[in-house]
Amino acid sequence: MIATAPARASAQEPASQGSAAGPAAAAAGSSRPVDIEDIPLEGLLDLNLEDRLGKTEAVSRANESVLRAPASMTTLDSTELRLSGATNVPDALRSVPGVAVVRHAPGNYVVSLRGTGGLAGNNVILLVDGIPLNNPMDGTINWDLVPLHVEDIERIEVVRGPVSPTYGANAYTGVINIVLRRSVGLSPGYAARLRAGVGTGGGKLASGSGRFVHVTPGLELRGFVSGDWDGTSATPATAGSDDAPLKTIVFATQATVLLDSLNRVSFDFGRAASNRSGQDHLALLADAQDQNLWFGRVLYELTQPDVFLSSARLWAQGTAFDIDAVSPPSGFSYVESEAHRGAIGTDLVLTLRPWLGATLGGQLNLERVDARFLHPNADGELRPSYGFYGGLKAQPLPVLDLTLTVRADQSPISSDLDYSARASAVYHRDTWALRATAASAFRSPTYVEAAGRFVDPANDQILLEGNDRIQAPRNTSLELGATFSPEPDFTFSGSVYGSRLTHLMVEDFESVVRRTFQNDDEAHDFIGAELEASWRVSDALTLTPSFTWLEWLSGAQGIDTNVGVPDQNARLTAGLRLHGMFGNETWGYGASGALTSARQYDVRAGIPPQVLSSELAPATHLDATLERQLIARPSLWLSLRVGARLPAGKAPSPLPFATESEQRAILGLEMRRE
Amino acid sequence: MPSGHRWAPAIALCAGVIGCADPIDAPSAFSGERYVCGPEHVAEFDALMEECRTLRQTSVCRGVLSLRGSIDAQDVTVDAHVTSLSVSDWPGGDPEFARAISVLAGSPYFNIKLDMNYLAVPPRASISGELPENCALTPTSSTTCMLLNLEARGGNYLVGMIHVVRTMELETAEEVRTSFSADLARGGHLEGCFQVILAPAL
Repeated sequence: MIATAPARASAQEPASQGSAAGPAAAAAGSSRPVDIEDIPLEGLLDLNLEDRLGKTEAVSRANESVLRAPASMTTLDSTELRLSGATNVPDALRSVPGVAVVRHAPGNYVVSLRGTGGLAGNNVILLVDGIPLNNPMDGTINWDLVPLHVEDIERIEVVRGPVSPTYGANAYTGVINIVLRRSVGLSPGYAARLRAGVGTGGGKLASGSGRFVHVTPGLELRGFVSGDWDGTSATPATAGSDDAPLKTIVFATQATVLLDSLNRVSFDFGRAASNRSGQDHLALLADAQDQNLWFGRVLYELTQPDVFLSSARLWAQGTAFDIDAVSPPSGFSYVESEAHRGAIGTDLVLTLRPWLGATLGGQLNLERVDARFLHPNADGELRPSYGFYGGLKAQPLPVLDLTLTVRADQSPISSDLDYSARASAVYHRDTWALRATAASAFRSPTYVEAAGRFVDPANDQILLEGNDRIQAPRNTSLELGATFSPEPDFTFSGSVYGSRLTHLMVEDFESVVRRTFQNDDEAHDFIGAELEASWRVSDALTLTPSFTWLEWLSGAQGIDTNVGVPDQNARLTAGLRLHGMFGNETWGYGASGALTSARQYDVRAGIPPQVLSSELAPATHLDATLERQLIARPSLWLSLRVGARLPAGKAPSPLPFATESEQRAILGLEMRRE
Repeated sequence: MPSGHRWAPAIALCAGVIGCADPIDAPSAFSGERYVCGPEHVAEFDALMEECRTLRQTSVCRGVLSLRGSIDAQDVTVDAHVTSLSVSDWPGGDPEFARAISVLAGSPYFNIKLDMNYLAVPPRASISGELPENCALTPTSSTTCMLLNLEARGGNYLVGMIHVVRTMELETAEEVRTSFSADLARGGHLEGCFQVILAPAL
């Protein structure tokens, strides 16, 4: 659904700037939420466009209406996610405009935004209730370590464009914020589900997951757990390695103590573990490896709207990653590596005038990476860094919002102070809004890029080495957006943008003398368009088509960067989501899918390097669900999920999963109380 | 208390964080290599040769190679033991220079193979000067008298060396020392030296 953060409290609250604070806290919500999906079609007539689109904290770290937020955003709500048929977050994102998804191996995906499709998955930040879960070692996202089942997610907010002024380095193409399930209706609410299925080739899968949400006037408790065993995507024979089914066990908990109407404290803790193939564009062998994630946060929030200090947040959070293996790897892999990061910070929202607000914030970070493939000078070193930002939001006219945010971050790698900025103007009326945004953001070099040292165990020679003089890649973008709702049941949003990517990373595998990382001196320019519509046809059917177009104005000039290569990005993507309930809401159905145009990889990668020549023919990804309520109390549901990956052609490749066709069917039982 | 003192702890904390935030220093492995040719490095070179002679008791070591310069637009410095050596007849040209030598050594990133034709045939104890431009064996073909081949997993870099000035001396009846300076046909420049033990280990 287009940018529809569930209306919840937002349907009742006026759209005021500077209320609440931060993605995590306001996402928790202080009032019982009302899902816009639960509002009958005729009820939508009572809501204006701004109310229907709801609120978000994902764009500016301050509660604001989606209509007036200074960036393009798509929200997938809980109903869409449950009925989409997707069994993981990357598959759920395929139909979102501007998002490119490629699977390297079971559980191992590269999700990228706006022209940065390629082999590297470190160009977007993943947040879970505001906690970043990118691996500090190389900035990538382990999508198999998302600490809850996709059906236990309240909503996923995909913010596209340079968002570093809000989130710091690495949010230079956008952020994906996963919000934990909130209570809806009855409390305590729970869901428990078991699923089993088969795939083409006879592989089997099974999963069990559940959630518990209990909200009282003074305490909110949430718990999530999920376990999966997926043998449907075992390593194909062309990879030349043993089967490596995906196995995961994850949990997340959150406890929020409401001290009074203004103050609250939240405690988050979670753990995720997986065993899967470690294959990616550097580690080409599909040896199984264990991956572990621990995360935690303490968050204090003060919310007092219309007072000078409208909201304040103080937080401390930490993440720990490690990759290990039971058996020694047969070739290069990331095993025997650990990464730890801790941070403390504050975010303040100030009301200077009724028409003028400000945001201030900063954070101190401390991190450490231990890996046998790092330069001895960087291995195991404790590295500090910091960032701070300031912003102004003015409403000189009731229909015009102007925002300016500037941020500076010191890289833990280079110790350089890099800047990002965003300026936007949003003109909004009852049924439409126009937005213009200019922004510039960067990605901090990773430990691998700056200080990697990959040694061939056969002869102790260095196969790939980092470059400690590497510069930060940058994304500078100009965007025009529009949201239009001629009827209460139909909303259309679109944006056109131009982007310039500079200082992109080149993994220079060509030189025998010394293979290292360098910056591409050439700029990569492209323009794009994203269109999305949400049409509530009836109470039993909602359609959300989307369309993405990308046109490169200049690209790689004989040097293959690891992202931003025209051939590696689909020029056209068409997506569709549909869902609905019928039969007095005892039946549910839905589907999500995307058709992507062809992509091609013809690069030298891997350790030791070899040519990765892979043609991803035009592909169709489709997931669908049909569910039926068997028993009303307790609510017991039977579901059938099917999924299909249908590339139009296939070419042998060291990354075979990107080109594999696959079909699967999953039966499930779910009991829920909400 | 003056107001400025209230900020002193915060400033000190910030200064401490900033002061501790030195950039990662991860120089290339070439920085750990040494160039040990030339009269100023005689002691170092002799120490490496002595190490090699000791190593020959238990493993293969045929000498020492060191070079520095620019290859493929990258600065290179190498000091390494020679792991393989072959001396063969080279039937082209002047019979007084009818030998060829091939030296193999390793560096942090690649294996190095130096092929040099136009070697003086003993009993000449030393020779110095510029190699001819063409060491081809037939009148219709062309090849440089010295070749550099770098090999690493996934690729190799083969380049002819031109404008080669070399000096070869018989250090002993069994050891020959060569120093050279040359341009690379694909761009770049190298200078270096190697001393090899002609007799294989027992």
